[in-house]
Order: sequence, then C-alpha cells, then structure tokens
Amino acid sequence: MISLDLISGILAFFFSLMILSYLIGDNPLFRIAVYIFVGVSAGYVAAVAFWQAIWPDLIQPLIYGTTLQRALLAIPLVLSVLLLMKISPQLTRLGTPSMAILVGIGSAVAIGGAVTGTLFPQISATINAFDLSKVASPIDAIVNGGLILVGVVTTLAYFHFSAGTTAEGSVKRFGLIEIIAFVGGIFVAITLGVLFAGVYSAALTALIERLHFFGTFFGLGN
Amino acid sequence: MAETIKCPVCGEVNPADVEFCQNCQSRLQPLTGPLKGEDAPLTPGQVPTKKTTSELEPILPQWLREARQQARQSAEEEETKKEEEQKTTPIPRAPDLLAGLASQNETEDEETPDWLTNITGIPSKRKKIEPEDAQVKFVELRHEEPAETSSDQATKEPEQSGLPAWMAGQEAAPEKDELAEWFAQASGSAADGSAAPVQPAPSQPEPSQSLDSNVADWLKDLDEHTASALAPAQTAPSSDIETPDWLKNLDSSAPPVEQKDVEPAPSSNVEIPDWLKDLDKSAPVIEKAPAQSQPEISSKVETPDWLKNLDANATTIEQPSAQNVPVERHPVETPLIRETAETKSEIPDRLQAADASSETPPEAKPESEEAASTGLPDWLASLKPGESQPSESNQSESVFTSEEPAAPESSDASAFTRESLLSSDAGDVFGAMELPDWLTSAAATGQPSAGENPPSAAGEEIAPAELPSWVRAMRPVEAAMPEPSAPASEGAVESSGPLAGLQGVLPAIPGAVVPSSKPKSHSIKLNATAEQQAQAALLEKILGAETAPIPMKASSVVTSQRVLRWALSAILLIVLGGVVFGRTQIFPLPSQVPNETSAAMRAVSAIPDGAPVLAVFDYQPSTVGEMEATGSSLMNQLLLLKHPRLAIVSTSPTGAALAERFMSDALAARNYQRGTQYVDLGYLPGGLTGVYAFAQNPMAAMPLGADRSAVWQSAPLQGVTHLSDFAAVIVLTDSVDSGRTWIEQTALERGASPMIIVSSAQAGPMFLPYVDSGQIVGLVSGLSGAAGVEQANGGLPGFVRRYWDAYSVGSLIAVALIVLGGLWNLILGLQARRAQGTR
Amino acid sequence: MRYVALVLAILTGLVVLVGYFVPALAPLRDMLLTWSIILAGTATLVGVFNLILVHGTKVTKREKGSIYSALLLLCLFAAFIFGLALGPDDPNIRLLVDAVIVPVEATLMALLAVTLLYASIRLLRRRANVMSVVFILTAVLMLFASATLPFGEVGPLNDFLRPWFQHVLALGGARGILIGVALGTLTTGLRVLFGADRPYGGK
Repeated sequence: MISLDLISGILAFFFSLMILSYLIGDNPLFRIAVYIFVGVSAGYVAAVAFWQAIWPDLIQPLIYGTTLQRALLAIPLVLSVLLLMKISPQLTRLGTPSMAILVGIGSAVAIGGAVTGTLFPQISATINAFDLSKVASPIDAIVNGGLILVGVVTTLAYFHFSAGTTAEGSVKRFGLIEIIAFVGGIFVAITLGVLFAGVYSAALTALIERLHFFGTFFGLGN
Repeated sequence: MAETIKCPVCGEVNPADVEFCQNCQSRLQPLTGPLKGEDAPLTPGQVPTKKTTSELEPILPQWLREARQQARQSAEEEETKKEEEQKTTPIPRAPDLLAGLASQNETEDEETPDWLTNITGIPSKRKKIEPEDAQVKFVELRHEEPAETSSDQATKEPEQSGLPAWMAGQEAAPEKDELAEWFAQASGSAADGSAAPVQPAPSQPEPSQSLDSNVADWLKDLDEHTASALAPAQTAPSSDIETPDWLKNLDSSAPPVEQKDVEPAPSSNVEIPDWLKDLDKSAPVIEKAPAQSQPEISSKVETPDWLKNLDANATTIEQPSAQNVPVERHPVETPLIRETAETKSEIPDRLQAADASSETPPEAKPESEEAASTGLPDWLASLKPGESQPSESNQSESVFTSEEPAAPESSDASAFTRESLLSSDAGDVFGAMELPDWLTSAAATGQPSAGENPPSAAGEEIAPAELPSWVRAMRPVEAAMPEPSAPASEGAVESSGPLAGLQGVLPAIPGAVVPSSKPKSHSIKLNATAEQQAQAALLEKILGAETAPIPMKASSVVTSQRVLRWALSAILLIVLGGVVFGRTQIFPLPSQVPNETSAAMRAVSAIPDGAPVLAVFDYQPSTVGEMEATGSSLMNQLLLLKHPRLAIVSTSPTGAALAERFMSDALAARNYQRGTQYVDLGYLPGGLTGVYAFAQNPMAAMPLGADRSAVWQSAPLQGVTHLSDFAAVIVLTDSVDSGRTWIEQTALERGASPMIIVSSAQAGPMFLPYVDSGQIVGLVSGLSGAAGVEQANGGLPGFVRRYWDAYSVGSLIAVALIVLGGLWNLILGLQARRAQGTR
Repeated sequence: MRYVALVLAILTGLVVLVGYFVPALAPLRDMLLTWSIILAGTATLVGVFNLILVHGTKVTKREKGSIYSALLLLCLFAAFIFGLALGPDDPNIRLLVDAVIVPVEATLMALLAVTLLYASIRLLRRRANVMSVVFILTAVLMLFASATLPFGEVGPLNDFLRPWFQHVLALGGARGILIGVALGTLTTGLRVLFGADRPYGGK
C-alpha cells in the first residue's frame, strides 16, 4: 500500500520541479502548478476559516450555548450574513456595516498597539541608550547611542516629505531637512542592505531546503 | 495718404475724400472717427447694474474688461452732465451693464439665460421658461400677438418643445448661418442709407455670441455713432423697459437726432434696464413713425434694465397710439426704438433706453414686422433697421468665411455702426437664431418693414470677417455649416478702435450679393497665425513624442539578460546541489553567537520545567525550510531541557498545519505527544485584532482547539487562563508585521512572561530594536543565528549543520557575483551615461 | 447605510480604544473583539467566494486561460469539500499542505534567490548613486560576514563589523522606520476613528 508520505513526496517533488521550470521561462507547467496551488490553498483556507474560526466562535455557541450567548451571538451572525453579501455586486452595500465594525475595531487596536508597543518603548530605548548605568563604557554609550539617535532622527527626517517650491519651480525640501534627510538616507540604505542580505539568506535557505528535499527524494541527501 | 483710393470690392478707383465708392456704393472711409468718441464719448453708468446682465461677465475677454474699465473712467468725467439729463427723465439712472458684469457673483449665475448657458457651457439654473419665453417673444417680435409668419411659427415651435431660444431658431432655419446673414443684411441695409445720414454699417465681427463679451467696446462705439447721425427710429421714451447703465450712458451722450414719426410709448410696461434708462434720459426727443401694418408688440415682455435705460435717455417721442407699432430698438442707435402705447411687454431696460434715445424713421416700422416674425432675441430685433434704410432680407453673403474679406484698409470702423444695426433685414438674418433678449429687442425696435427696403440695399454684401477664436467657440450653431458658396475677399486688419487687431470684421461692401431667398451657410475655418501654427506644431510634436511607442529592447539585450539569469541559476543550482548532494561539512559553524541569540537561550533556560509555553507559528510555507532549521534548534533546546507544556497558535491559516509538520518532523526526536504535552489551538483570525483579543482573553478568543476539542481543559493548558500564565511566549515568524503585532498587542498582557522571537533572516534586523528596548528578551534570526543555538545543544544534529556548507557557499557566490557583476555593470552604466552626456 | 457604517466604525473603535484605559469597558470590548474575530473569519470566506466568482466567470465566458481557472476551481472545491468533511486537522488534509502548498511556496521562495542575485548585480548599472552603493556594500558585507570560510571566520568581520552594523547603524535606521510606521498607523487609525477615512466603503 502506498503511504501518504510517499504520495506527498512525489507530489511535492513534481510541484517543486514545475515551479523550478520557471528558471527557464514561463511555461504551462509552471502555470498549472501555480493554479493548482492557489486552488488548493483557497479551499484549505476556507475550510480552516470555517472550522477554526466560524465554528468555534459562532456556530458552536449558537447550537450549544446558553440563551444569553445565543442572543448575543445573533448580532455577529447577522453581521456575518451581511458581510457575505459582499459577494454579490448588487448587495455589496449591505456588507458595509460589518466592514465598518472590522475597520473601526482594527483601527483602535492598531492605535493602541502602535502607541504602547512601539512608539513609547522605542523612543524610551533611544533615550536610554545614553544611560551609563546600562552600558559597559561611556564611550560606547556616547558613540553607539549617538549613532542610533542620529539614525533614528535622520531616518524620520528622510521620510519627511514636506517641501517648498524653489525659484526655479522645482519642489525641494528645506535646506537643513535636506541635509538631515541625506544622512537619514545613508542609514536607511544600510538598514535595507542588511535586510536585503537577510532576504537573500532566507531565499538561499529555501533553495537549499528544496535541493535537500530533492536529494532526500532520490536518496542523495543526508 | 493716397490721392485716390481703390474700392476693395469692385476695384474702382475713387478720390480719396469720397466716402462711398462711386461705382458700387461700397463704403470706403472708416467709421472709426465718430466711434472713437470724438463726437460723443462713451459714458457708461457708474452704478452697478442689475443681475440680469451681470452674468455675462465671465465670458468677457480680458481686453474687453480692460476696455470696460476705461469706459468707466471716461464715464466719471461725464457724470455731472448725465445727472442733469437724468433729471429730465423719470427713469432713474441705472448701473452700467458692464459694471454689473464685473460685480457678478455666483447667485447671478442663476439668471444666466439659456443661450448664454448653451454658449458658455456653464450650468446655470434654468430660467422660468414659460413667462420668459412669452416676454422674449414679444421683445423679439414687437407684437402682442405675433404674426403667424413662417419664421414666427418656426420660433414658436421650438419654444413649445422646451428648446433653447437659439436652438429654436436653428430648428426653424437649420441651414441658415444666422449671424452671417444678419450681418450681411445689416450691412446691406446700412449701405442703403437713404433715410439715415450715416455711413453703411460695417459688419460685426461676432454678432450674438460675442455680444456679451464685446459689450464694452462696441457699445462705446455705438454710443458715439449714435450721436453722430442715427437714422430716425421709433422710440418709447416712457417705456418701462429697464435699460442697463451702459446703454443709458450711450443715450446720454447722444445728441438730439432727427425726429421723424416717432411714436412714444409712455404706457409701455416693458422693464428697461437701468443703463438703458440712462440712454433714454439723454436721448433727444424722437418721433415715432406711425406703424405700418406692423404686428402689435407684446408689451408684457420684460426688458432688461439696460434697455430701459435706453428709453430713459430718449427724448420725447411721438408715437401713434392706434397703431401697433413694433418697438424698434437698437442697443446703440437709440432713436430706433419704437413702441406702441399699448405695449405691455417688459422689454429689457437697455432696449427701452435704446428706444428712448433713438429716432425711428417711419420706414422702419414695416421692417419691424418682419423682424417680429423671426423670433429674434429682443435686442437683435430692435437692432433691425429702425432707420430708413431697410436692407434686403436676402443678403446671404457670409460674414464668417475662412477667406480673408476684401475690406478696405480704411474700414477699420466699429462693427456696430448704426447702419449695420439698423439694417432692415436683420430680422431675416436672425430669423433662425434666437439671440439674447436685449439684442433682440434692440433689433426689433429699429426694424423697418421689408417692403421699404431701399433698392440700394439690394445686392449689398457684408464682407467676410474673421472672428477671434474665442468668439468662434461661442458660436452655437454654425460649426457644421458648409463652406460659403462665394469666396469672400480679404479684409483689412483693423488698426484702431475696439476691433483693432481683428481682420475683416468690417464690410467693405454692404450689399454686393445678389439676394436669394435661401440664405447661404458658411463655415468657419480655423485661421491661425503663423505663431499659432508654430505652437500647434510644437504641441503636436510633444503629443507625438508622448504617444510614440516605446521601442522594444533589442533582442540581443533581452537575450543577454535571459542568458544571465540562466547562468546565475545554473551556478547556484549546480554548486549548491553539489554541496548538498555531496553532504559536505567543510565550512565550520560560526563561533560567534550573537548577543540576542545568547539572550534567547538564557530566556529558554530560565523557563521553569514543565511550565506552559505559548508557541506562535506565524510563518508561511515559503519559509518553512528556514524556519524549521532556525526554530528547531531553540525548540529542541527548550523541549529537551525544560519539557514545557506547549500551546500552539497561529494567525496564518496554514500555521496549524505547519506547526504539526514542525512537531512531527523538526522535533521528531522529542516525540512530543499532542493532547498531553502540547495542544494546537489552531488558526486565530483577525490579524492584530485577533492577537489583541487573544491577549485579553485567550479562552474567549479561541475556545476550541484545531481539532475542535476543549483544549483549555486539557493537560497542557492546565492553570492557564490568561496570557501572563504562560511562562514564555515564543514567536516563530518570517514577517516583521506578524512579529510586531505580537510584540505590540501582547505588551500589556504578557506581564513578566518573556517573549522570544525566532525569525527568518529577512525579518530579523527589524526585531533588533525591540531586543534593544527589552520588549523581547531574545532573538534567533536565520541560519547564522540558529548556528549558535545549535552549537550550544551539545552536538545535537540539526538543520543548521546540514545546510551550513551550502549556505556559506551560496553566500560567498552571491558576494562574488554581486561584487564582480556590480563593478562590471557600474562601468557599463558610467560609460552609457558618458555616451549620453556626449550626445 | 453610509452613516450607519460611519457610526458603527467610530463607536466600536472608541469602545475598544477607551477599553485600553477603562477596565469597566473590558466586557464590552471583549465582546466586540470576539465579534471581530467572527467577522474576520467570515471575511476569509468572502475572499474565497470572490475567487470562485472571478474564475467561474472566466470559465463560463471561456476567456483566455479558462482551462487554468477550471483547474483552480476544481482544486479549490476539492480542498474545500474535503476540508469541510474531514476537517483541516485531518492528516489527509494536511497532505495538501505538505504535498502542494509547501513545495510550491518554498520553491517560489527559492526562485527569489536567483532573482535577487540578478537584481543586485544590475542595480549599479541602472542607479549608481550614493544610496545604491551603500546599499550594495552593506548587503555584501552582511552576506560575507554571515558565512564562514572553510578555514574559519574572518575575525574582525564576524566579531565586530557585522554586529556593529546590525546593532548600531541598522538598528538606528530600523528604529526610525518602526517609529515612522507607528506614527503612520496612529494617524491612519485616528483618521478612521474621526471618520475622515472610510475604507469600509462609506466614501
């Protein structure tokens, strides 16, 4: 009897090969693999959404919950039905309230998270970089903390896009901001360079993993 | 100045001092002298005009506005004189029409007439059509019950169908070039000049469409010309027509003219604009000619203020009360206005003013009847020949032809001379087109009967004129007209006066065309100057460059790029495949363990044995290889050392499946059992909202596990009700957003529980600030980060060691290719730039 | 409907936001959050159904590539039906992940290595400015420092330069970016809560 692992391995091998064929150029094999992937993914995601989101949070309480739970869940049930109206172009307006609730709650959560999770802590960390009690040497605090501070400030200035119009009619940032932004551009370039190296490392690791899979499939790898 | 002057029409050589051609009676001398104000300068009113006329302001060209300003200044000088004249007339002084235009505001847009709306394209509130139409019709026709002529019917029918007035006219005579015909007729009648001691009227460059915008200049000229020698016209000095100031001023400056059979219309209810009342005040006494079988004028028509001013400026006018005399008005030649006593219509003020200040010859009355049947706008109807020089109605020579009219150089007079305005067949010209009320009224008042057209008017022709482009754009109906049948001669460029700079706007020969029953249609060609053509060519060039297809890259370039990609692919696949398949372990793992990785290991070691730990699997299948290699080392260490109770959750739909894969493959050595040692809570939807909800109340957010079991009562989650009950939160993610979400949304609820991030190398650098701020206690990023953890596992075999050679080789290949290829491409790029700079 | 949506967005958002600071609103906030999770799950279904509609239309209209769309729909319905019947936690369903989803996505990620390498090589040809040079040099340095040589590591590179770049220079830039993102999130969220932005379709 053919095991699931073998079937999985064969399918994975062929799908990987079909995708790798894109290195030669776009071809039907690549397209077939991609379309199958999208279809399977969508079907799987829909099943997951139903069983791991809608069922435990909505349907199961409606069936087995208390009266109060059922009454309270009537509202999200109606909202969900309205949201499903988004599928129909004629009834898409009915889904607007549901989307509004989603967006409203999401905005509030994003605001709270950004303020409490990033803004205050990161600003505090930038300030605390000069705390001599937390660093090994004052020189490190001054040099490294100063560089970090400069990097933060200049990076923020780099994304400051307010500008004025010059005499020639061109749009340009103000002189001091322009200088600061140039320094910020250097920091941004360094950061993106580090990120690029990380992305390439991730892609390279994925390639290695696929090659390793091929080797395992053919009994070549370890 | 030459001793002789050559007639531009017939070529006959005439003495230089002759005003008309001895052969064809064409006008040879310009009319600019009197029009310039030598006799009677323009004296527009100073009081702001009423709304009815001020909406014309937006379409005025700049030069016209400037001219208006000049007119205001000159009017101030004459103000004292005008005030005295106003005392003699009961109609108060009305504001200048153009002053009203200047003071136009948005609310005045509501009163924009249909024709103006159609011309300008500016949407305006619709006028009250029903009463307005009736009044307009009266003003146009000068009848209470307009004669059922064919042209009248043609005017009526479109009105009933709700069409704009000018459209109605167009429908009635669709093939007519109304403006051209009107000018032709107007000039023809003026050329006759039997009763009017004035010169033949040159043509108007843009008759009705440009009326609004040309008001300042040509009215100024008209005023001056009125003072010189206007033909007798029928006026209604006591008419209620409201005349704008500018027409009042015209009248006020006009000297007394010959009073010949002028019929005053004291009981007229026509509303005259203020500026026309001013004209009435200052106008001399005019006798209205007895009506000659003319239809009765509907006195219900509302007249704009400026027409009333015309009446107000007019002097006493004799008006036969028993006859229905059409009010023949001319906005410039005020004596032309004639109105019956029983006129009830509300005529625009400016028309009334024109009436009052004009003299109407008795011969003009029959002409007004013809005008009345044409459905003309009021002022144009009154513009029709109030003078005793009715022109032939069949003059059809185009004024608007593309060819240059053969106007003499001396014909640089104003287009709006009284002759042109008073031409008897102006009504015919405008029969197919409705003009603004004030223009129609003016035409109607000064229109003599067709039967009295002097023979001299026959065959007169208006020389083709060249319209400014903005005027052409405003013409509503003639765009699709065919080419003129008879080519027009070139016209001279006007050197002075308000028409300075325009070419061929004044007719050289008022009547040189054989009358025909069917007016000819004339098209307007774009007559661009050389500069305009050059600019157009430049624009065309620019557009051509924009729309030109971008040339495809040379096939060699595309091929080389493809070859480069193939080469890179081959290098990576061959080299890395060889390393992977060769099971080499040549490259040592890095000895240096990053600080954040060391912190992560310390945090793991600090977790109590058997404590609940939340593991978040938030990575995509695309990075499963890297994440399993990176995470397995730390998780192996954790499971091996601390035997935690794991709770797995994921905000990715595939996260639960990847977690199972991780536990069954990457951590197969640990042999963790689901349900007893770990639970899978499954998919947590909602992104950051779901994470926040989970942080606030994990049991409410995910009441069931991935297998739909009550996981919160299971062994791994015993005693866990809040997020802070977990001994640690380990987030395995390949996304900055996902990791940031968990950091941000759980910051307040995590309490003392440490958070450790195991991330892909692509997201690791962005988590370093959170490590630095202490929000996460440790970070394992990528293979290089996991290498330190794996080394700390005491030689436990892991993915890192398995991948490391290939990883190092791949990184070094990338470094080499980027450096070499980058330098090579940098040189090529610089060379290309130099080449471009050299070009 | 438009104003109803606006009121709902502002009201629910304010309740959740104030819930950060007012514990009394915690029950109401938790209820809204649960609703939000339900709606998010439903929104996932809406997305999948929309995908079905799009490709179904292509199939019915026999547009170009409709065969691929038909294949997609076939796989989608198969995965969905079997997923509903067996549940996503079933090993047979997880086979879809292991056999299709993971290999395809991982291979696509592997293709990215070639693409990134190609792009980085040609970068200086297209844009040779200071930022590009700094970017490439940093990337090369990081790649070189993350690897090891057969004979070991380049000491100063691995021990000093790479950590310094990552923990000082790149950290400064990354923190600036994160603060900028947080500020953008803050302003965008406030605009939604004030009704200035209505991305839910309220115009």
